[in-house]
Amino acid sequence: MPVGELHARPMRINFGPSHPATHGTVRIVLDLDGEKILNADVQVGYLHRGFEKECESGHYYQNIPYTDRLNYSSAMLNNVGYCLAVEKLFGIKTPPRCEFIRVIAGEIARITDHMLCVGAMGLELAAMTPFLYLLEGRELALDLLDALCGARITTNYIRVGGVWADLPEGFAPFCRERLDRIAGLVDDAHRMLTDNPIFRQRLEGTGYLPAEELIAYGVTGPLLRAGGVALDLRRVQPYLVYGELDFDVPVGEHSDNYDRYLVRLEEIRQSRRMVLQCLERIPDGPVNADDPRIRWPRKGKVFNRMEELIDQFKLVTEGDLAPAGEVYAAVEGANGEVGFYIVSDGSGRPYKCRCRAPSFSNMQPLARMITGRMLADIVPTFDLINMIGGECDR
Amino acid sequence: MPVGVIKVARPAPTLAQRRPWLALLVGLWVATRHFFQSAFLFARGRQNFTVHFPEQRFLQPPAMRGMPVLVRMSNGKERCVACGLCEWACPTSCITIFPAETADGVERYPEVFDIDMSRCMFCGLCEEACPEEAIVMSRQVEIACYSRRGSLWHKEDLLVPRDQLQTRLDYLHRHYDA
Ligand code: SF4
Ligand code: SF4
Repeated sequence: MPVGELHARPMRINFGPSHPATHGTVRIVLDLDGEKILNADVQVGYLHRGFEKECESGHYYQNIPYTDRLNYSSAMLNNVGYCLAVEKLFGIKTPPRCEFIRVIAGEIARITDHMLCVGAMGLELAAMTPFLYLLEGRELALDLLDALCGARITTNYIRVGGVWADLPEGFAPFCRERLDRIAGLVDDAHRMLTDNPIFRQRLEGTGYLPAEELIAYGVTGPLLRAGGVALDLRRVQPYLVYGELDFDVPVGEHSDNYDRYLVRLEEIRQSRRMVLQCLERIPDGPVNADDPRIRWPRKGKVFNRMEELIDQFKLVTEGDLAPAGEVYAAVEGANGEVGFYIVSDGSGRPYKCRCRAPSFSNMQPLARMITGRMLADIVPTFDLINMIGGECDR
Repeated sequence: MPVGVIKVARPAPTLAQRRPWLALLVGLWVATRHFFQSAFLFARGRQNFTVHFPEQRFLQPPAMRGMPVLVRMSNGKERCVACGLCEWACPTSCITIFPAETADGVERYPEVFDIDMSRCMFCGLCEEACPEEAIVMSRQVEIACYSRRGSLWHKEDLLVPRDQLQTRLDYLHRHYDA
C-alpha cells in the first residue's frame, strides 16, 4: 500500500550486521519511506559466545579473564564487578589499598571507554580530527593500564580478594602526567565538537525519549543520566571507596543525543578528578585480603614451605570453595549497571553466573528512539547508546 | 562525602552558531596547533605520539604480558617438574603435558609440553599457578604463523634461557617475596 508523500511502497533495508557504524555486530531492519523510518526491528545476538555457560565450567578465578571480554573497551570495570560479587559470596572484605587501586584502575578504564564512544561517534558524523585526538588520549590511558597489569585491553588484573600486583614504581607521577595530557586532548575535542553548528544540529533533539520510558526499559548509565535521573551506583549505593571521594554526577535535562554527549565528556573529567584524589590518598599496606580460603599464598612461601605448597595445589585444582548461596553485586560500568548474579552450590565453580549487561537493556529503546525520525539519526543515536557487542550478546 | 549532582550546561547558541565559518576557524586553529606541535617535536627528532612500527617498538613496561614460555636453566634443562598445575589453572585448557621420570634430582620432567597459541589468551594464570617459576610470561607477542600446526608450540620452541627473562622475573619477585 502506498504511504507517505512519495506515494511509493516502503523500502525494507538492512542496517548491519556488518555496517561500519555498527561496531559490534547488530542488525537493524528498517522500513523506510524516503528517508523517514517507519519501522525499526533491532536484532542483537551476533556476538554470542556463551559467557554465562562457560562460567559454569571454570573455577571462580578462571572466569576473571572471560569477564574482560564482556565490555572490552573497559575490561577493568567488569573485573571489578565480578570480583565484588564473588567476594560478597565469600563474605570477605579487601584491604583499603586494594580498594583504592580498584577505583584507580576502574576510572582509567571508564575514561578509555568514554573517549572511544565519543570519538567513534564523531568519526561517524564525519568529524575525523577529534576522533584522532580522543584515540590518542585513549592510547595514553591504555599505557597506564599496561603499566599496571601488563595488558592494554584484556587486563585480567583484579583477583577475588585482591589484585594481581601492587602499583608499579613511579605510577603516581606517570599517571598525573598522562591524565594532564588526556585532559588537554579532551578539551581540544570539546573545542572542535561542542560548538560546531553542524554537529549540534545532528545531535540536538535526535534520539529523544522521556526519562519515564527509559526507566521502564531498564536503561542505566549515561543514557539515563542524560534524561535528568541522577542514578549512579557510585553515588546511590557507594561501593569500594567511592563514598569518600569528592566528585559530581553530571546529568542532562533534554534526554537527547547532545546531552548524552555532554554527560560523557563531563564524566571523563570527573573520572580524572577521582583518580587524582585516589593517588593523593592511597594508603600503604597489603593489596590482598589475608584469607587462605581465597587468595593464593605468596610465591616466596610456595617455593620454600610445604604447607603453602599444598595450599597452592589445593586452591588451583579445587578452586575456592564458596559457601552455598546466591548473591548479586553491581558496579557502575561505563554504560550503566554491570551486575553479576552468582549461584553457588558449595563447589569451586559457580552453579550459575548471570551477567546483567547494561548494553543489552540500553539497546531496548533504540527502536523507539529512531522510529519516525530520519535515517541519518540512527548513527548518532546508536553510537551514544554505545552498544558493545561482547557485553550485549555475552 | 555527599556527592554533588551537576547539570551539564548546554551552551547557548554562540556566535559560532550563527556564523558557521567561525566554527571552521576554531577547528582550524586547534588542528594547526596540533600540527605545529608535532612538527616541532619531529624536527627535534622526537615523535609526539606515533611509533613507526617495525623499526621502532613500544616501550614495554616491566609488567608486560606476552606469550608464556618455559624457563631453561643454565644446565640446559627445563625448570618444569611436570606437576600439571598450569594445566589445571589454564581457563582455555591449551596446555598439554605428558610427564615422565628422570634420574635427576628433580625426578620428574615433562616429556611433552605443548601450548596451543591459537587458544592461549595471555592471561597469565599459568604463571601465577606455577610453584616452580618454570613458566613465565615473556615479552614476545609476534607469533603469527602460516598454518594451524605453526600455532602449536612444543617444549623445544618454548624453552627460553633464564637470563633473557630477567626483567619479568625481577618484576615477579617484587610481588612474590613481599
Ligand atoms: S596465559 Fe592463560 S591461556 Fe595462555 S597458557 Fe597460560 S593460563 Fe593458558
Ligand atoms: S605449573 Fe610449572 S612446574 Fe608445574 S607443570 Fe606447569 S610449568 Fe611445570
